[in-house]
Amino acid sequence: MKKAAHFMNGRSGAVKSSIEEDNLDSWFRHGTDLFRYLLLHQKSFLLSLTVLVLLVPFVMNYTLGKPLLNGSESYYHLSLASQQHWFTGNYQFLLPMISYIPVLVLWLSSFLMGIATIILFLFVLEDLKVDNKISFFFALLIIVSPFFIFAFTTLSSSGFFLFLLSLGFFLLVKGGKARFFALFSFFFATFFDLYSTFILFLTLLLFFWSDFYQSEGGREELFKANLKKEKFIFLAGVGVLFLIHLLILNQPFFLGPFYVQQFIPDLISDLGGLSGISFFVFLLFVIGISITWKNKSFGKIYFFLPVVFLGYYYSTQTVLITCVVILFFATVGLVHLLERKWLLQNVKKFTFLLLFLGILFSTLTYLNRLPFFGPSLDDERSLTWISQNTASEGIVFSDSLNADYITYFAQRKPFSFIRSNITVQNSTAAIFEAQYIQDLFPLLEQNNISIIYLNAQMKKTLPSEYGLLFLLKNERFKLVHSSQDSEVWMFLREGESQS
Amino acid sequence: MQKRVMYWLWGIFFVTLLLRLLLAFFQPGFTSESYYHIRQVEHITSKGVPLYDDPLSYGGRENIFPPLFHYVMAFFNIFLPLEFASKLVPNVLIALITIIVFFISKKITLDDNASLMSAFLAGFLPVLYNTNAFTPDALFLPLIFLTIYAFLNIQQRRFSLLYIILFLALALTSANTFLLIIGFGIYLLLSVIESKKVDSAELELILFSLFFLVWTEFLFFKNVLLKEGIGFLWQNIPTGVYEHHFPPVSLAGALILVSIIPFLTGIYAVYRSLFQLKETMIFFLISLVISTTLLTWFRIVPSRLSLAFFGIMLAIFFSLFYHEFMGYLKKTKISRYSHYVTFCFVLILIPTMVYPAITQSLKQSLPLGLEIDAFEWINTHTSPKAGVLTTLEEGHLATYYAKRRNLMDDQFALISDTEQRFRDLNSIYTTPFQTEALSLLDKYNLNYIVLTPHGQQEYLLEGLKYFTKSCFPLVYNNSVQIYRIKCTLKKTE
Repeated sequence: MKKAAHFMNGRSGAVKSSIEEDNLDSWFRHGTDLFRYLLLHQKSFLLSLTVLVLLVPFVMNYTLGKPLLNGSESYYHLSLASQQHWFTGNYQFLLPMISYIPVLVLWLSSFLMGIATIILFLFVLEDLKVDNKISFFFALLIIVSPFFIFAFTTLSSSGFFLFLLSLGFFLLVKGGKARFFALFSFFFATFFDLYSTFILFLTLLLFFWSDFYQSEGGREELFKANLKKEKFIFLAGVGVLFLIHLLILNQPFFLGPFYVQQFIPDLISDLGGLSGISFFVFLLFVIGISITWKNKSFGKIYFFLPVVFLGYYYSTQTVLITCVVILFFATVGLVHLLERKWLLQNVKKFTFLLLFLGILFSTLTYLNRLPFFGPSLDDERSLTWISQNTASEGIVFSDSLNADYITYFAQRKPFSFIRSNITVQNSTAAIFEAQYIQDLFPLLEQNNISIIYLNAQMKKTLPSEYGLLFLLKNERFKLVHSSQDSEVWMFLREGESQS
Repeated sequence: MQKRVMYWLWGIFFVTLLLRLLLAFFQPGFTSESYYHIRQVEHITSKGVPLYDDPLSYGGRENIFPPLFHYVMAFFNIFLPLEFASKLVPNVLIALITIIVFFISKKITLDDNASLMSAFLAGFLPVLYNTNAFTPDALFLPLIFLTIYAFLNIQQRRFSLLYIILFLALALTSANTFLLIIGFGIYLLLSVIESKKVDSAELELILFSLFFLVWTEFLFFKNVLLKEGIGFLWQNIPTGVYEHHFPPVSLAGALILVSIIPFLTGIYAVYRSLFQLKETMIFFLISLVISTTLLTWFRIVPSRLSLAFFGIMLAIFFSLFYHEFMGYLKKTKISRYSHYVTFCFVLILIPTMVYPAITQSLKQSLPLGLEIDAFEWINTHTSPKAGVLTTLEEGHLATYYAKRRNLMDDQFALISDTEQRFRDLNSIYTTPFQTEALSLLDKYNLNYIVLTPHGQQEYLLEGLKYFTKSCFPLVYNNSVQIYRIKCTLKKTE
């Protein structure tokens, strides 16, 4: 704990952690042998856990025959890859390569990247001499958190960014000539969106500002060269790249969105979000904040909080970075609770049992929900059918959430994306809510929509007594394909006969 | 405890209980929401588990809730008839609040007389006089105050164990337990603001309570949380029903329900404690009041429950006022008349509390006997697969007495279309158009329409405007009308 604070600020002697380190050791020594064992063999345990946690979604998807990659973002990248020819301004210059790689290999690379991120992360913490318990619990909480599972079982720019960040810092703290290779890693990490680049800049600033870097030991160990020059190269390099992306390449500030954004559920997975963290971890975060807010050692990392929360407020797509910062404070909270001298020992045991069960329960619930995230096998079948049996210029109308699946599997233009402008969003709503064919047909004709794709989720949520589902009974709509609960309807032009 | 004090305390308890039982048994039946819980108890008695998959409510739905109250009642149902136990046990539990209030007041004032006065007040709080209600609140209220008492005595080891047991019971009784957790949060905040050191054991139990409650809520409400997200806190209540569940409480209404004397003296005691005395125990109790007020403000805790909680708290705070007042009197020349002052207090309290309490009980909305007869008639004269249209309030009568599917009732959790259903329900009762009514009746596959005096009063109707003998033959008419639905808009084969 003291060393974690030292890492964050750590001017030797100035840091006065209130936590009694010996308490935790004695708890581990006398409390439970299991925890002691896990702490001693933390790397192998954490790696095994990572493999297990990341394999579960694969096994579930494979068993159900679903596409291996979940989530719209994966298919956004894949469809871009199939269309992209060369460099267009951001990380997409990597995409042409992706288009030639089978999905299984892509899934595998994401899986391996997840494992590599954890390994690199542990090495970085070790090299920075962060307390064993802090690094163990920090990594443990990351591994079991939904944001990590989601990022490394899909094609996620945030996951890729986290990997490059870990790799960059791994090379940086290794010292010697290796640190210059960190520049490459950071260079690639700036190609996602401006927000990530800004976070990278802040992280580097925090690192160079940290007393670990400033201390004689750290300096000697890491950088024998001219310190000012080092700092300048890294910070100015990232700064210049930020400006290039902003002014010349018009990189978006936030990539996405790829799902309907909801402020609280997107952060707390137990409330139905796509990723995020467990509610128990959030409680630990609150405890962590309440402990550290008066402790000056953590002052610098507090700079991150308004930045990540503001970023998250504008786009919940930034959930991964937000979660990593939250997890840091949650880890501090957790270790503080463990190290605290409890009067009621049985209450302590029971409280921690509840806490670990709660986090485990959250993770299991999330893993259980993962197969229900799109696309489903029926989506894949029906959309592939569209690609093989309909005219290539056809525009497909469906829920905006399906747009990236449509682009990738059906290779057709979807009418609206979740990222579409307000006019398109309004037209989409008008089509869904049309009460009469006199309202619906002109909308479909004006927008050249010839195919309507409905999946199970849409059929579940759309009303059947009125609106689009009800109007499909008209003779100008023809059901041309169905697979379980997925349906493909053709909208026939006036005069076209039903054949 | 002195014998005199003990006799007085038991006296207050028995008088309270007697009055409550008289009122409960004097009026037949239960409040409408009680029938939902009675069904659950019956199911536990016969099958051993609660009826989480209810085939009748909303035409078939899942409803998960913490079941301790129902299990406790099922236990009593083993040796007592359910109808009798359902009136006896909740009233005994509520009457027990007098004893708990006595001990809490004693803890904070160390004054027997003041504590007895508080117990008396708690026994006759009008807001607690829903004598014919059979809801988990009957167990929740005494349990939460017993938990508070255990927490106030946490320095004694046996009380920490008692606290843990009580908290487990509380979490398994009602989801409203989180008002205690929010209260703890406010207590910690107030302590930080006032630079008071929180006792280590208190902090540990607060942490335990927090994690335990969150964990149990996840176990019970996992699906609700995933489906409704943060909206889970608002229990999926349709906006049109908000006024019923969270009626805006006017100052005058609140004064009647918690009574004017405890209200005024309680406010004085809170002011003194918060700004002058600054005692930790009182801080804790005030935190709970703030927590309840906030949760009611945000429409998370029903106003009825929060007023009950608030009223009991005021009764406890009365002991502070009484203790201080009598202490002051003793310093004056009229100290020898102090027992007359006590008598005067009682004299003032009787008309301002006992009378409103009795009125409150008599004002309960209970189904009439002939309404119950009508629902029983449906049970014996219609197909078990039939669906019955009733008002929202009578939804549980349809499932309990008629044992038939309803369109909706006041258990909204996990129902995806409560807003739509509530709109449709109102439309069926108020539309002048037969086609609209028939299409809605078709939509929910309903076969009978029940029009009770309560329903007529609610919708200001004498009869439904679109009724025709050919489509809606009257099959039962005894102040309550039951119409069979013969027509349909569906395509025929």
